Amino acid sequence: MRNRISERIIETLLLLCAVSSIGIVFLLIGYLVFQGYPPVINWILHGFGTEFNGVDKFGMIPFIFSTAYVGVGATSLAIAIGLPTAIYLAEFSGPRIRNFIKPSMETLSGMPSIVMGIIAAFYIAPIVVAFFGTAAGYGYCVSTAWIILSIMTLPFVVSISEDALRAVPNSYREASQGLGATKWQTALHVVLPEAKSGILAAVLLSLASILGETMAVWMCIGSIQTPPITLNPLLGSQVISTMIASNIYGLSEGGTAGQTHALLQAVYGAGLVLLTVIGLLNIVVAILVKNRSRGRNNA
Amino acid sequence: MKVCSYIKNHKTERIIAGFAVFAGAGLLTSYGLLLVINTVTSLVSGTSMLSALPFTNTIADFFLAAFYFLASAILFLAGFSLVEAYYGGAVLAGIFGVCLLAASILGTVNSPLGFTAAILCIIGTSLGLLEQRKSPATKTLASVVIEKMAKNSLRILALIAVTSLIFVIAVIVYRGSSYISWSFLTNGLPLGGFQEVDLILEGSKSGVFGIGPALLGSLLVCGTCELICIPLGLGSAIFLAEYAPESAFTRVIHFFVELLSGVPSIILGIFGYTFFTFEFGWSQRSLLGGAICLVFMTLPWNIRVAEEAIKAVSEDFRAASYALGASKLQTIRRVVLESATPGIMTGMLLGFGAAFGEAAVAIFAAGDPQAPFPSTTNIWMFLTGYQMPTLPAWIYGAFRSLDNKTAFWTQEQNVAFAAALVLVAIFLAVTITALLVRNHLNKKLTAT
Repeated sequence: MRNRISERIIETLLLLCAVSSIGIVFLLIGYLVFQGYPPVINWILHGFGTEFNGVDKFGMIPFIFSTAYVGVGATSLAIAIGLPTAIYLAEFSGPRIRNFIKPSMETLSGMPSIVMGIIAAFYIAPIVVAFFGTAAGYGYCVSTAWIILSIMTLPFVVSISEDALRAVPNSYREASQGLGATKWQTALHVVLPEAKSGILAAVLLSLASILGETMAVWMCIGSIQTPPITLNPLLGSQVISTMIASNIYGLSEGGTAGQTHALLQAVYGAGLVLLTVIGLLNIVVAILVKNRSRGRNNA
Repeated sequence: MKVCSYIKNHKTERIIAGFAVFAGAGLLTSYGLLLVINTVTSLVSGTSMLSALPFTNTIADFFLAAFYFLASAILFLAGFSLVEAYYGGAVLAGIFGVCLLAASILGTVNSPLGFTAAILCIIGTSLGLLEQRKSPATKTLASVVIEKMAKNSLRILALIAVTSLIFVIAVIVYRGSSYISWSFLTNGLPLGGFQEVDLILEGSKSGVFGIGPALLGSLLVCGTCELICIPLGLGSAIFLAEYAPESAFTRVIHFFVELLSGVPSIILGIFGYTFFTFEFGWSQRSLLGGAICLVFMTLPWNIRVAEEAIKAVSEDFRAASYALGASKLQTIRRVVLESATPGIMTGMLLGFGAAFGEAAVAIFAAGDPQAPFPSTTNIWMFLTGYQMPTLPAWIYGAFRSLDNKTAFWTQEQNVAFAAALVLVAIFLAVTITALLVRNHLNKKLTAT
């Protein structure tokens, strides 16, 4: 009897542990909403606004634009180098090379972002300046952010898309090569289309992680208070995550009281917008992965 | 003779199309060569051959030359496949032509040169496309060429990817190692913080200031985080894997775990910055606040990895244990957990590594790197009443104090690299241990 009771107690405790993750998410989102709902309602009712001065104007459009610009640019760069690497590893290279590169990539995919940040600020920014001259200022600009973000997400893209490519059954390759196609033709016309949804998941996940990345971008993007709405990648800018960081850092070093509260609310509102976008991307990926596994099982 | 017969075997239009692109590529190569010669002569003699350029611009010239060589190599390939009447070559040359045109108009490449090369490319492309429309491609040779081209360019891109990652590690080790010493690891900052130290002078003596309190603080914050995280994560994983049947409820929990793992660290940072002060009246940033925010980050990791490890334990073990009369709890504790330990440890270590390097949370939720290490005997005050310096925040503080000196290679930057080297060394040690444990486990599983 005593045993039965203690088993029940432990089961309940374990249930509480499992429910804690739900509690944490609700706490986080609830607190964000509680702190940041006034500016969000304001943005929804009166438009997102194009001006941001940190005192009474909290427009979001410049930040949304620059976040999308930085995110899409960096993701394209990461895909442009990462996908061919994944194809090479999955289709062309021998097992020795793959067994060396894949684990080292996985190790590096968690490289602390602060470390990538000082590399960006002290190496990549001067290289950008060397390339483009004074047009790039000190090199703290969008293109520097693109380069460092794509290096950071590269291991991630390679790892996930290589998994997706390798998940394509070998019989497909054998059939294609049996019909006289070369390895490259097989990769391009048989394996890639088959792994499409997995690669799309890799793209979206890397986009989500790029949008959420703060430190490395913060240290090299220039932190302009209101980012210019322009396609020139040599100008300094500010994405949503770094806008949050800069403003909070400014507050922690002292700010006037009246300004503090409104600014804090706007910052939380911006965090809410960012979290919504990233959450949606993650949900789309979850649906993609689910559909893929269902398709596999039916086939 | 070989060249003559080669030309005879191909149609004139194709030859013209291909050679137009060859000419463009040749132009780019010659300009690249000129740049290299200029760089070398100016490095050797101190004066530039073409114009009086300062040193940074010679580095720029070097990069630019590499860029021109790469471009012309691609154009040579495109020209060759045009001669071999392969459609992809025409597309490649066309794209390149348009890019060159845009670059020459924007002034990124030498504009008359880029303009000429672009026109040549576009002529070649259009001729190639016209020719393509008239006659079907000769399949065999073209596909062999493309195969080689594809394989080698893929190899080059893979090399670029690997090089960029090796570059990161090499830079940190090379720049950081000169400053590492025992006193750098143990000393703290003076009261005034980074402003009071001359990073070059006192750094080179390497002993006047260091990362000691920050390193200790980081270990404390991450240790506290793991202390909270392990029971919570392990409990959830056991519940999900052993008790809960696959149902809507477990799917909801899995969904929330996934959602939590997607929360960007800056959101956790601002949460930690305000929540504990406003709601509990703790110090603005504190050890426990930082640790709790890090728990939010590492919990999904721990749950996922531990759950997989528990599910991987063979059903036979459980059946055997039940057959011997053990209760469910005894089975879990004695049989399942013991077999799943390596997997659970992997999750723990990976979580610790990620938490150790997490800068946004450390800066906004744990504390200022220039704050003194809290000295109090009251444990609760120690946990919640004082700012706790951490290693990532220390690196950021050093960066901040160097911020307006953006030179290419100054000695004071090495201080930041030295702290980064310590961070990376600990991170890599933890992660590699975790991966070794995982591989060991995998081998054992496949062996049985």
